Amino acid sequence: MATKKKPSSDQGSSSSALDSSRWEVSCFWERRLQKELMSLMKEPPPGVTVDAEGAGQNLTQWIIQMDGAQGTLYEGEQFQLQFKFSPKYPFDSPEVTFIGPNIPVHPHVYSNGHICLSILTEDWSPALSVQSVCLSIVSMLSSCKEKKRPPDNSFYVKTCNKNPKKTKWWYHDDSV
Amino acid sequence: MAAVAPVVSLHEQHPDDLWNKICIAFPVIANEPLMQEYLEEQVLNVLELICQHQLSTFIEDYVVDKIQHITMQKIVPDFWSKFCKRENEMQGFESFRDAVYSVYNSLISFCPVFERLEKLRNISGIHRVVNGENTLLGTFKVIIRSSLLSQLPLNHPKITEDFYRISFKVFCNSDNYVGDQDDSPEDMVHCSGCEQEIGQCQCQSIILVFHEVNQKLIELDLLERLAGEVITSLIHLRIENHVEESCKGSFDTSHISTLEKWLDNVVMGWLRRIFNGSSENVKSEKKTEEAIKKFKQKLAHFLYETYTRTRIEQLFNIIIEYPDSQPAVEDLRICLQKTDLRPYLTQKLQRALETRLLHPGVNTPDILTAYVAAIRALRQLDSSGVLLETVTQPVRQYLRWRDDTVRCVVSSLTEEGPSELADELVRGEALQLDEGVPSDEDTENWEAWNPDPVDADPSKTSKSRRTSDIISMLVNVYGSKELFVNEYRTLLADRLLSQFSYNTEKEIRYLELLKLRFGESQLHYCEVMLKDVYDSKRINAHLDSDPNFNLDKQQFPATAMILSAQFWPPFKEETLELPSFVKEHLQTYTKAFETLKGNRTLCWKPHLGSVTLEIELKDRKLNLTVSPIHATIIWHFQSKNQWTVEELSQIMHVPSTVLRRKIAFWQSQGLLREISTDTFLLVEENPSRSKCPVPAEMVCEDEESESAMASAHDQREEELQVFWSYIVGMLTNLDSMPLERIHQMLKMFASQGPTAVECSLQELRHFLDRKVREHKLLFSGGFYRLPKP
Amino acid sequence: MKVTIKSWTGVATWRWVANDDNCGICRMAFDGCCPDCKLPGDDCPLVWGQCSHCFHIHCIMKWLNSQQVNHQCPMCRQDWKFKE
Repeated sequence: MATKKKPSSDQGSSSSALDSSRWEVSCFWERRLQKELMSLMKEPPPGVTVDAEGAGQNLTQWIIQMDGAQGTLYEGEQFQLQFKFSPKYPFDSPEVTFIGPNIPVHPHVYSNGHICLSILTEDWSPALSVQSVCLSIVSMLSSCKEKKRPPDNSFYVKTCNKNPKKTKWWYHDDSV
Repeated sequence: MAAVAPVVSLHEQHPDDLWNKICIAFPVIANEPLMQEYLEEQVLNVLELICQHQLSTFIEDYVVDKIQHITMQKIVPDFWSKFCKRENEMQGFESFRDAVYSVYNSLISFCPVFERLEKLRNISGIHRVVNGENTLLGTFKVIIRSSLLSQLPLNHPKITEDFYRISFKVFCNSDNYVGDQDDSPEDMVHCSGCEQEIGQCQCQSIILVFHEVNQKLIELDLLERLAGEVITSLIHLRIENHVEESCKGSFDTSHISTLEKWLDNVVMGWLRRIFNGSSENVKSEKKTEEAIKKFKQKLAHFLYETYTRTRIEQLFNIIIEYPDSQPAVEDLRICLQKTDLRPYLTQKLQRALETRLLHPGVNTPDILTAYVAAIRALRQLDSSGVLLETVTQPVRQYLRWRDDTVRCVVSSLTEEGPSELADELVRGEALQLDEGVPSDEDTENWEAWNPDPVDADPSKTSKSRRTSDIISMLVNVYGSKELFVNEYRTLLADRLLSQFSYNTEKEIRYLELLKLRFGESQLHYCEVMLKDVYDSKRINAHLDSDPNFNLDKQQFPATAMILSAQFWPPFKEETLELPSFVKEHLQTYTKAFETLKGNRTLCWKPHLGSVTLEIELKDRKLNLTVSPIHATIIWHFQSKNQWTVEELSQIMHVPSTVLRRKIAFWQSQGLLREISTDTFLLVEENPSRSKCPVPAEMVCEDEESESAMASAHDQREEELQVFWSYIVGMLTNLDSMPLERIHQMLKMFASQGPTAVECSLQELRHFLDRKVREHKLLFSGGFYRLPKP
Repeated sequence: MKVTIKSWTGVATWRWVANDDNCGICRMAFDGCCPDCKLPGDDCPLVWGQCSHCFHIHCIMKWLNSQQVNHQCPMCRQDWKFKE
């Protein structure tokens, strides 16, 4: 095959993830992400929109638009979620943060976008997916009764690692 | 008219006297004929007298003027008057001859005048150039020529043609005489030269006149002016006939050098003899030689052009006969470089292809064969591949519309026996496809680099044109090897499920060859299919040999082809209720399989398979191998010897239309008879049949030879339907997108599915446009969007 | 007339007897194979946990190997034990 590509070293280049010959060389995580991307585009859950083009260009980093659900404190707001995947995905959880101008004010969301959600670290399971993570976050926002930052927000934001997965989370009560 | 010859005294000259004397020396002034008997000495006196009076130039001018006047008023009108009317060719011939003779005679008659004028020049020591000529004879020729041409009548070529056609025919015929001894003289009533009866052949005299006229015209410097065009067109005609004669229907020899020799020897021989008056041996003047040389260049060009045109006319047949016609193609290649006929070739060949190939009357394998031949022939013709690409564009376009193209290509690729494509496949080069990004041109061989011809499509790299092989060209008809591989997969599936042979060595070999071409991964699914067949054989053997499975206690051996559904093309959905007795057997098999392969089970495709039956009738016994549906039909006729299609349809869960087709097989075997519409009766005894021996073993070649797989078209529709759901999803998210972006996105999905389908940009555009027509999409400003609900 | 079947070759597709069509880890069809495999069936078999969830064996092994301590079923988070 003349068009054979190296597996993953050139994820950034525009043709890599879209190349039709990709299939033959793509590995576990790529094929799984492609499947997820397809199903997200085909049947997006309400209020969730994936930037499929960007994701198609670079499978390791997705941007997802999320609308605050109706009848909740976040109704009418729009948020952006960033997913970063490692080649160990789905055996390793994705790195998920809020980005952009509007970080939801929520007791489990720090102002730098980090989210305190157990399925994103120790409760991760390969049976989870981008879609199920999104739904968890939507429901986390929806169940919020008072818009406020976590109590340790300013300390955490100053001291934390850029990657939220490096944080040793102490999970608060799940009811909030 | 009396001419007095007075004694001339040089001293007492009266002007009138002098004028009279001058008139005596140049009687043309007084419109008198020249008196030869007039004494040379006297003339000389007059000339000297003129010289003394310094009248030389005046007199010369006057005389020339007079002659010019005569020429204009008499000689030329006389000449052209001969061109007026002619009854037949021969009359034309004679008129032309007479005209030339008469003008020549006029020239002769003026010769003494010019001699005297020349003498006058000598005496007076004058050198002058009149009408661009420094001799008076030359001056006169110019006068004749210009006067003739200034009065050129409209119909003059006709007579000229008459003359030359007749004489040329005789002339060339006399030329052929030496060689053509074969013509049996008895057959010839008429001379093939002059067309007169043999006894009255005028060839000799015609030839004589021909050479005489030519000679006179040469002397007058009029041959080229007057007859050049006619001679040229006659020679052209000869060349055309000769070229046509010599390459009629034979493409296996090169003709260029023979034609060149013919031009050199025969045609140039004619020219030399025409220009030199009669014989070739006369050493011609340099001027004539040059004229001949120029003529030859033009004729050579004409020869090439004629030959090229002839070959172009025949090109379709030449292509069909390729590679036997290689010499003709090579000739054409050389000629194309010498002529300017490439556009003509493109246009002609395209038209020929369209009228002879691209219509419903030609079946696809024949079109493909022609296409392959065209690829080869045109490659030889133009190694840059541009010609090929341009000319065969309509062929590719047409093939794209044919449903069975891919199937035909794939089957001929893998068919048994000698097939050009199969050979090509064995050659095993990697596939070159258009899809690649234009790569840098090969820089290694830069010295041998040539620019692409001007008619090349600038959007394609010349490398891709130069290198892609035949199979690539065929695959590129569709622009997608995925579609191709899919078709192969369907074909393979059909083959495996129609033959029910567990011997797959041959298929494996082809698969290996295809893998070299199309890449390992593309054919991975086919590999699994072949492995399924192989595994089935093992499983059958295993189940059969192990007494625990109790398969040996069955009334008949049931075996199975066990398929990995994910890897096979989609099956046609068909239902068939098998006899419960058979179903039990298959159920037993399933149980055994489940035991063998824990946690796995089987889903039967009851309509697929192959059944061997023994049918005992009152008067005969049949052994047949048929499809399950055929077997089930006849099975039911055991319990009841008459069924309606409706009844069978209900009990078998098979549509009546299908049943009628299948029953036809049993009718053809003489087992069933339609006693009234849709009611069939078993024929136990067939007295007329018993006479002829019945073959003991028979295999039901399914006359319709239907595919078990969903058709490529249906599969494609289904795939496009999947694409459609993505497109709707995308447009819901992103509002509007241009074609290219949609295509980019879809390519990603194409890389995902089990069949790795691809949708070319063009196909996508067609598809989206269809959706626009169906009002399921809106298109404006280059963007597609969903209509507002 | 007497019709005797001498032999019958049928066509069947095989499938895993599983509670789902797709593997919860790789999302590929059970009847296909996991992303690391080329051949389905014997070469890429399924395994069941005591919780009754099943996966391609290669997928669940990858998961279990990536977990240092808790070996849980990805679907139900119960301790993963292979079904005998």
